[in-house]
Amino acid sequence: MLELADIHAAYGRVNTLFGVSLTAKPGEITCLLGRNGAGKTTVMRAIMGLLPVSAGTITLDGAPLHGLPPERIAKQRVGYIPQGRRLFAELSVAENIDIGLMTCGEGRDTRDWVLSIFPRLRERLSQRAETLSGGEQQMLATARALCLRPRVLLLDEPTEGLQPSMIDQIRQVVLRMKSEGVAVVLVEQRMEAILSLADLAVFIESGRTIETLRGDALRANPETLTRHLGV
Amino acid sequence: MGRGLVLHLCTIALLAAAFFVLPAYHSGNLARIMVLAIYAMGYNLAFGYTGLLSLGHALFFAAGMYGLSLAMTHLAIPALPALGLALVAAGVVAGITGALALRTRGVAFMIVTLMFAQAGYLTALYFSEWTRGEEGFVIPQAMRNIAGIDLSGETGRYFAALFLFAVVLLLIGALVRAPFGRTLIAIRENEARATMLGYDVQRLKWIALVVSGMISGLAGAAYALLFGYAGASFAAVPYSIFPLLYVLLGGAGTTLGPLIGAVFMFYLIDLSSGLTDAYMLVAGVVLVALTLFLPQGILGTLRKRGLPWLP
Repeated sequence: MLELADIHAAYGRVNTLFGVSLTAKPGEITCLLGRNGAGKTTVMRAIMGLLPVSAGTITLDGAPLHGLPPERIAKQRVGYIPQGRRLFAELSVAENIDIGLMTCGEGRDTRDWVLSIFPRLRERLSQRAETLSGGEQQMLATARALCLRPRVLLLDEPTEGLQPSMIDQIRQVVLRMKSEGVAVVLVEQRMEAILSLADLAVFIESGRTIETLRGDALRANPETLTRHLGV
Repeated sequence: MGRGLVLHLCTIALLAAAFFVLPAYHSGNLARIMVLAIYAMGYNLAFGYTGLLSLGHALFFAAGMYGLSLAMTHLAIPALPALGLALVAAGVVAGITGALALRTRGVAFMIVTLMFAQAGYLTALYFSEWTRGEEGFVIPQAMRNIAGIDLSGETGRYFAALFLFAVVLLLIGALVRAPFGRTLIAIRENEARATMLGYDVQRLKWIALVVSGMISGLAGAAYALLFGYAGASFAAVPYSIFPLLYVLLGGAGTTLGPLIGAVFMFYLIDLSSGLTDAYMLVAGVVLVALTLFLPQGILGTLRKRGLPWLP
């Protein structure tokens, strides 16, 4: 279980998080919600150690993550798919996947598992990553993070700019990770996705957690989304 | 056997055959070019594959050159162990430089590596009692042999250069195909993502710089051994710029780009200097044109436009 307890963080001298708390349980999807600039991506970066946490704690199954360098956090099997995909453009699809597999010593089984989730990538293994379509690139970015066999999966607006068929595929992957016991933290803007996927909704505003709702409560009062997100 | 390996073996065979076909002047040039290409291959590992734009590789070239030549002339150590010492010297210098310079990145990294190289150059001048500064010194011809092979003669020199070139080419070819090389490319493409996947990027960049420095040092040592001369001018700024030019011209991140770039640059200067005293101006104009029209270098462009398998 990933737990953030009242974390504070800053970019240099500029404070950006002023008390964010959330819990992401295995087999649940925790949606991190807020308006643009609320600090959602900053929370993701703080979890990954890309931003120093000045106060509060981040723990994974009770062990502290805060203060660890990003590569050690990744090795705790925390997968992060940031906005913008960011593939290794010059490498092939197979090499992108292999790069993901190597750090945690994963092998053929994990490779087959990942390719069973994204069969389209299997058809494009020798193709250079930069020549994939936008949707395929998102698949590859997701596949690469799954190569860690993550205990926690952080997805920052994974469906942004994708066509509907691709959005559905990414949604299916998120649900599969949930069913396989992964703790998923999802930053999402689309209301229908939030309402259908969230087991827990954490609203943040100006770098603070302002409300936490169970998914059922959110679905019973969808106007909460409108109120907090201004949509 | 992959197409890349076949191409490498064909290149080596072509270079071997060239010795028997080319006039002595050009085979002499080619021996020098192969040594410079080794230097550029070392540089390419840092710049072309890992994305480390160093302006200080002359330091590693000179560390290898002085490592060998000082050991041979002042300590009377034979050529082969002196070559080993040169590799160690270049590796140690690259290790220390990397540990400090890799705390920076981008422009700061360029400047720090340039400063390190300048410090090395000034050190060579300062200890002129041993190095004889800019004037340099000659390695006695009688010492320039390994296992009875005279490396000062035309044939011995050419095939020794070819042997070292072939070893480094095949080594680099294997290295960049291996997981380590693929990881270096991943770092070059997106350092942050490589970190997010659990790679200790700093450590890998340091290893890449040390290996790069050792190959550059090997080139420096080979230059001194085969051409019998060591001097501080090899530690000066131009010798940090040359491998960058070779790699940019031939194609950064391609295994044969450094050789193509070195051949091109060597003969561009050689031919233009025969035509005019303003040969550096001619070379400059041609380089600017090439950079504008082939920004990925000769092999980089070929790889982009129809030969994606080029290693």
